[in-house]
Amino acid sequence: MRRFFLRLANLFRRRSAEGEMSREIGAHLAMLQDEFERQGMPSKEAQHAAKRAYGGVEQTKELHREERSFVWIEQFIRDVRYGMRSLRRTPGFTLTAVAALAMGIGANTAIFSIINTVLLKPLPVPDEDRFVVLMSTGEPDSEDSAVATPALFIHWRAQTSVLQDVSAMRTGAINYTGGDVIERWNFAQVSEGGFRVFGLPITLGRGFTPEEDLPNGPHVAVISAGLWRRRFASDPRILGKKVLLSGDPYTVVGVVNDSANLVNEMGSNQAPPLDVYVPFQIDPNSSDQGQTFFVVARLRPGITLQQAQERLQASATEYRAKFPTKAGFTVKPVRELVLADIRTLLFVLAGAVGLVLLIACANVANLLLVRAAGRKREIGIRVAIGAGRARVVRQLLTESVLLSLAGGALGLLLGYSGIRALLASVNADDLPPVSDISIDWHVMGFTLALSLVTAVVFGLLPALQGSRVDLNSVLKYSGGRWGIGLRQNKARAVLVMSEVGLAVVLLVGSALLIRTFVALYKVDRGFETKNVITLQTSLTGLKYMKSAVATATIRDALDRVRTLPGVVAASASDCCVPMQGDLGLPFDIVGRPPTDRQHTGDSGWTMISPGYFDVFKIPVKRGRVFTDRDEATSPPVVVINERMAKEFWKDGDPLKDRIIIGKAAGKEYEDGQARQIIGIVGDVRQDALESVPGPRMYVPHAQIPDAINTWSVSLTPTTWIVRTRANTEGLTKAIEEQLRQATGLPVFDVHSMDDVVSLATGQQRFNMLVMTVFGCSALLLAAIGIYGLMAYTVEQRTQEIGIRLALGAEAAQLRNMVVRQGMSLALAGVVVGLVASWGVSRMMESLLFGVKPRDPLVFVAVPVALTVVALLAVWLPARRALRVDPAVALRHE
Amino acid sequence: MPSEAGDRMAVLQGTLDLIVLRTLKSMGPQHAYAIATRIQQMSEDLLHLNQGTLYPALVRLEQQGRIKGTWGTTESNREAKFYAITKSGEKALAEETLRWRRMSGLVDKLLSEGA
Repeated sequence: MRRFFLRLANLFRRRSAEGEMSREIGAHLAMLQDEFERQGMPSKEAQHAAKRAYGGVEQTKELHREERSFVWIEQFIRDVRYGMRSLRRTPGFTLTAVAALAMGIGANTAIFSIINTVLLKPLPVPDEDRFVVLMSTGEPDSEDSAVATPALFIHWRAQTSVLQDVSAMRTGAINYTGGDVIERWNFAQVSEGGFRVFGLPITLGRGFTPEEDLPNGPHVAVISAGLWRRRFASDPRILGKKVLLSGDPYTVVGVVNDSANLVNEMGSNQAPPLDVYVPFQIDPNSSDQGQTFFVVARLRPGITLQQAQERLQASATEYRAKFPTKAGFTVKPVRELVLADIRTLLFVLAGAVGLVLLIACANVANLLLVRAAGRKREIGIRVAIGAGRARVVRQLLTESVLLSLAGGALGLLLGYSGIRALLASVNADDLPPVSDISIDWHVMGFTLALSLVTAVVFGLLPALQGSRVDLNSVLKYSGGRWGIGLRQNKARAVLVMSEVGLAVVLLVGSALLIRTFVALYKVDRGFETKNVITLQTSLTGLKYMKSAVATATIRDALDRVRTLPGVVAASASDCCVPMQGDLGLPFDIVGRPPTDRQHTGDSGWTMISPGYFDVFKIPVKRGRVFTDRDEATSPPVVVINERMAKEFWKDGDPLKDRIIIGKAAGKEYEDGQARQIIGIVGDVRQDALESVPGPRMYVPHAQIPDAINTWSVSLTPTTWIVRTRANTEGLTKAIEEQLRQATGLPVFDVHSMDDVVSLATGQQRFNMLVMTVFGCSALLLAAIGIYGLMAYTVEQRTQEIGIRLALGAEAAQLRNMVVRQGMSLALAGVVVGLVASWGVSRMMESLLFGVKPRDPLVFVAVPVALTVVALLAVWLPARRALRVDPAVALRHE
Repeated sequence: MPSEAGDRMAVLQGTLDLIVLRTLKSMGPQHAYAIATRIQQMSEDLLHLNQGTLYPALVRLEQQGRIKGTWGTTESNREAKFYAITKSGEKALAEETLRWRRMSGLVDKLLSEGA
């Protein structure tokens, strides 16, 4: 071992080692010369005599070099040179192999670069393990939920034995009204401990004090370093200045550096950077269960995750004594929450690319076997002149490594640009934005390591087989064509079979995801998106806190828009249009005793303006919908959906009943009025295309109490929706202008509703595209594999075919024989692949929608498609058997 | 070395290391020239040694940690690298000597049986 390192060191210290050697030899020669001079020789003669006695100085040096360094490195360099020459001689083989490897390695690099960005990089938070999110374990049948309320927050904050810096956080947008034009700033409400729990450095001033975090505390704000630079030119005297947020003055007390956009990315990877933070100011005596936000905290030093979980679970009894709920509590590392959704996907994708690479390996191994068969003579000669088997294997493996490195380099390029193109074409919350994907040392190291491993995987078997030469038979025959043993063809047949099998597995995966995507688009979403534009405005500011003012402004804006030529219908929603969020509240039917629970039930809850159902073409099934005459002063009304009618009025007529919404849900949610149900509309998929519509209530904005209006306008922007005639060229600008004039506020996030839906399905689109690319690569590689094997077999058997033809066999018969052989291989592979798919498609269940993991159509279509492709790949070489000329074939060597 | 051999013997592959170790053990630290001279004297000039061939052996032994070289000056005030046998070198010498004795004994026996 020691010697190994010394030799290795000498490789790099060549210069000094050479110097040392010359010095030592020089000294030796000098001493010899001294000796001869002492014997009476003249100095010149003595010098020659010394050299004679010493022996060849240069030879000694060479021996010396060999001893001190690795000979095998030189051999390696020779192998590399030889390998390059030999690969250059067969460009067809080399290109095919490199292309196959680039596909396989590139796919792995692509997925690894996502995994590297998402899973492997630590959150940019100090002491990540102690950074946890508080969760309710909820009713037995529901999933753990990170959605918190003030009552929960107060309870959790009291668990100081295990937690510290328990902080609530919520993000939204607010209008900055201090400048010449009104700007929209992304803002967050955070508790006093918020900056500590996220480990965000306050670069100037300070964070919030506990007093500032109390209800009716002072209006203070911490601004982001980005905003400070951009908007205030890094003014060092910013502290103490006031900024107008929605008309209210806030005193700037600090500047925080949230360059990683941590707070906002809790919800989504694609969230915009935050500009300003204000204290949350939750009432410590609140029993509010309506408002919702996230709560994060840090584990106390020395407290394990499990201890914290046990403590929280135990504390739930105290909470249940105060509030009627079955909920339990737990904590989870934030990392787990953030990554929960994407982990399954990344595992499936990693598995898929692993399969693609395996297929590529099988393919190249096959090509190498063919090549080795053709090189029997060359290898035989090398063995005959003294190369050991290990030496031959090393030479062949060197060639594999060369191929693999070339494939890896190309794959790195392919994978990197491919994944960037793909991520740029889709937009999904859980996927990292394109800008986050970079080639760092992890990705490079991964690709390099993968290339080397790949080289061994595909190169070892052919190298071992290729080096097993029987000198006698090889050197005696002039060609290599008789030297191919049965074993070798068996190995190749197994390789081709596994290629086909793996391709089946991948194709089943991609077919399932394609079916998922189609199902998503075919699903009855309950609303029409064509020719609908959505725009947003944050109606923040003191005057809009009054429901009447907000309603009047919205009505005025909509009236202006409706007069524009080309506009068919226009409406607005305070929360939320489909695919952009959802709210839910409990409701009670007047005169019906509540069931075992507190309320009659829970239902989705949407605040809208008249015209909403026209814009989305949501059908009115019974009764009527809102008009401008449903005002604050007129009788309170509500429209429900069919699902709600069916679920809660199994017998009886909903149109005869009144409901009360949000009773005891906290003062900000108490509607307080008994609303007459005036109509029933069709069901809409509100949250996501894959979620089944639940019960839903629509209430007119005009009839919303001030308390609800206040938080609704300050937290969620008002979304305008406009249905136009087919051609909307230029119309959008006009609509924007009218909205700006009516509200005096900026308009943003202008999208067609089609885009909104496609954004909402970005994840599925990404899944489908990636898997389809992988599936097709697999199919292509498998087809090349079959083609290569059959072409080679026909070539190898030319002589046999010639003899058969000469003896009178039908050409067509021979062709069919070849086809039969090829197809039996392919079909065996298909069967193996189907069995494997049957087993593993289950793993994808959570990624699927509208299709079962063992979808019969997929399990029929994939093998059929593969068989057709295989038939084509077999047919082409089989036809060549037909063209064999017996006379030529018999001389064929 | 076809012509030079005569009745002198070429060094048997692998034995040079043993001889060098033995020399250093009995003589104490020496430079290459002294080692070569000593080997030639001891073998009564029967052993022909191109003095240069000593170097690979010295490098090898030094890398194996069996000897250690340090630069110094000779009596005649020339600089030279002095090699001394190390602990592990002495151990190796003992083992190799034993092995060599067994080996030569075996060869002797085989040869005399044949006669």
